[in-house]
Amino acid sequence: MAIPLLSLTRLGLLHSIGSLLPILPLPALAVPAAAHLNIPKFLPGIWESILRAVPKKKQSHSRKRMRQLAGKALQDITALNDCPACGKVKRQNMLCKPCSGSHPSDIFAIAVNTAYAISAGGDSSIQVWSLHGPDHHLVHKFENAHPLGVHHLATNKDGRFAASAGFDGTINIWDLESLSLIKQVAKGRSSGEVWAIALSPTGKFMAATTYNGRVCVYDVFEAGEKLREYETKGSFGMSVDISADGKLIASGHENGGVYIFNNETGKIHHSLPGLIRTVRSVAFSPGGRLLAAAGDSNIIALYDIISGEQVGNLSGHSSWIFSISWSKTGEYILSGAFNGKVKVWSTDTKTCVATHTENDKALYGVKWIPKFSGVGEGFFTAGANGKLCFYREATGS
Amino acid sequence: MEDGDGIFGLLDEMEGIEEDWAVGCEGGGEILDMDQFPDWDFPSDRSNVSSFTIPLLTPSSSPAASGISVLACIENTITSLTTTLTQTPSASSVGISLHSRRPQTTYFSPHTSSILPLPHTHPSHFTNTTFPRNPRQFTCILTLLSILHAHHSPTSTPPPPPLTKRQIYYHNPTLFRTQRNVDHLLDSLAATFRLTRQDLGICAAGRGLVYGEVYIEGAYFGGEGGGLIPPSFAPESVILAADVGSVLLVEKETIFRALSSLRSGIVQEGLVMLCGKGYPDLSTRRLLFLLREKKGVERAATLVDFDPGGVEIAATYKFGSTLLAHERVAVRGVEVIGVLSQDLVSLITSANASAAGGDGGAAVTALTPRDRKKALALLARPWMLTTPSWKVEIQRMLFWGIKCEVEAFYSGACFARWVLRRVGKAVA
Repeated sequence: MAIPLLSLTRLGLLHSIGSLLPILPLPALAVPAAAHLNIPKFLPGIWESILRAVPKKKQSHSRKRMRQLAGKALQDITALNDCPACGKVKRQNMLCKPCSGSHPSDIFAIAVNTAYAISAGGDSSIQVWSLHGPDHHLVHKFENAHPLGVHHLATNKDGRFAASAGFDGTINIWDLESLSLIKQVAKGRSSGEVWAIALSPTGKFMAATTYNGRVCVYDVFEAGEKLREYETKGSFGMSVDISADGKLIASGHENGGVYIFNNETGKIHHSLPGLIRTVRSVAFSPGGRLLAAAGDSNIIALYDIISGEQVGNLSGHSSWIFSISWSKTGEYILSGAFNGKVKVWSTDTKTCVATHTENDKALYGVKWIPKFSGVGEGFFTAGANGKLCFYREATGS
Repeated sequence: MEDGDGIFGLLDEMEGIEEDWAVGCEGGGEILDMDQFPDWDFPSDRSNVSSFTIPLLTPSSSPAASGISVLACIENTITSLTTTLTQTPSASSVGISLHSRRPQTTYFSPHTSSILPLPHTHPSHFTNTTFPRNPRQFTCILTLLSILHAHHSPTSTPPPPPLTKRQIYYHNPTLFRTQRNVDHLLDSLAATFRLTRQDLGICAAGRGLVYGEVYIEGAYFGGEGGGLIPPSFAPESVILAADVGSVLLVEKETIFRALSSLRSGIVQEGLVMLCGKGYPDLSTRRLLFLLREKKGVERAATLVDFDPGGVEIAATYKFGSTLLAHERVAVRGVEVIGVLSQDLVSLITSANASAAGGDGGAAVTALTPRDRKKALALLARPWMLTTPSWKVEIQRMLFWGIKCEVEAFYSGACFARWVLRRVGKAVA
């Protein structure tokens, strides 16, 4: 059986050689032909490894040592401590991978209150981590919260409630004091209609963007009904935020549109021009004076809420910005980008004051840790590598 | 067209390919005995058309099947367009009128026993696409003209292989929007030029291609370009070379054509390449099943787009389709080797770096609501649990809101090496 097959191969090769001749010079084809024809039957399995076993250029031990002494070798990682849970050595400010388990897939959304950092992603669970103490252990895991995965999380201002939006179109409201599910809010008209979500400061209302660009306000606790519906130009609503006083809602859209709506009048407050590419994150400043919007145009645009004027551009990212967050005082803006870079910006000078690169995986969420959480000022990030990274310092100094 | 299900998608594709313009007169009521008309040329009627729109029918245009005549037709169209613009600058709009392919504009000729277009060039037989009012369609027509022009331009002695309508569509899917639109416009152009589709150098794609050291029913498929899978081959007539270890499945014919030459090294690496042209038909899947189950092929590396359709095509190979479940042709060992989400990272970053905001959008496009619906439907499929990596890919697709075609990586000689490296990774 093997012999006719082999000869068929040969036949095919002869055929291909015939048509190859005018194209390639002969020596170029002699090698693959030989490789095909002259290998004994038992060899093909190891032939590949023989071909690849090319000696490497070796660096001599003395040269290696010289480089190390000159400080040019790879640096040792000395920032290590013991994991309080399993006792194994782990990197400082990083979660212990084996014992926390972390998320098996991407973390798409993070949220924070004064006690917990919350993360959720492609798997069905939502995980709650402690902010007290340097170890950031896992406090609770909401198992099977959204079977198809979670894409957005939000907390209200005092951190009592959290909302999660799943790929299946459902929205769950969680009580973070008792760590329990309060209710499942009515979805949009059809499954999968709602995308980004934000909770009002009291937690009573929830704003959500939809696939066709509308921004809806739901009453969370009463009947869960739709209170308001703002129409935009019909472009996919990528992001939404509610101002600190709860009066304004901002939304960012796939076509670059940024809108501010007034909840008291139920009317559009401003339609903000300037960004032409997808807006992936919008955020009101804590003082309620500025709105930051960022996305695929790699810049963070700052708008004055009252006048609607663009008052500044923070440029420096070289890739899409997925997430932005204001510090408590409004002094700094944190931004995380697709290429894994996280930057801290000063809003006064409109310059980047620090850049961190944990890895080159996309960052989907960045959040400041509230000041009175007991760990000092800092922030944490999460993204495609499925890990949370906590940073202590505010400016990278 | 609204339905996101795989089989409906399959039907869409087939419909798009099979659509033919000479189907108008089934009813019999429209059949006219108009054999007294000479079939093609009616110079007397031309003038009243050209008075208000661009005269596509030039007196010199004849149904000669040579490339020069196509070129002349296209060039006449463009020149008359520009002369209209220069001579009457005050005109508020410019238009191209195409022959509309309706039953009313054709008649059945018993003499040739075929349906022919009516020789009348009455204005009602033309649909006029004007620029400011219908910019997209106008751009589509001009794009098609330029594609056809470029296709016919090289004066090499062996004429270039015909373009498929699918290929033309993939020149600019965001502009054309649907394959059906391209098919319709191309056939309208052919009707307007009074040429056949073959004269224009385009063809409707058949389905199911194979390339590699394999013999089916005595035919050898290792030659340049491979060949169509015989629709109903006998399993025992398939003979595979001994050193073939894996199969490369590609989604699109353009990619298949690019890889099915000796220079790409597919044969030398011991690969057989199959192409289902979108959703694979049964014979493609039957062949894959045969190779995998009977002929000792271990893996099927799949090269599909980064969009819900791509994942569903891979799933059609891997899990079979709902309507054809009784055929039992689901193949184990199907892996997706591209386009993966990690490929997009470099693409997006480099596109941003090279052209600050301008060019990056071409390769990576936004998901449409239909894509999202399909992706959500895929996420909820029962087989999704068995392939966590595919689930992550779809979730990322949704979260990023983008999709990307294999063509984004299709840049000359490096492409074949890129694919082979990927296959190698999958095999090793």
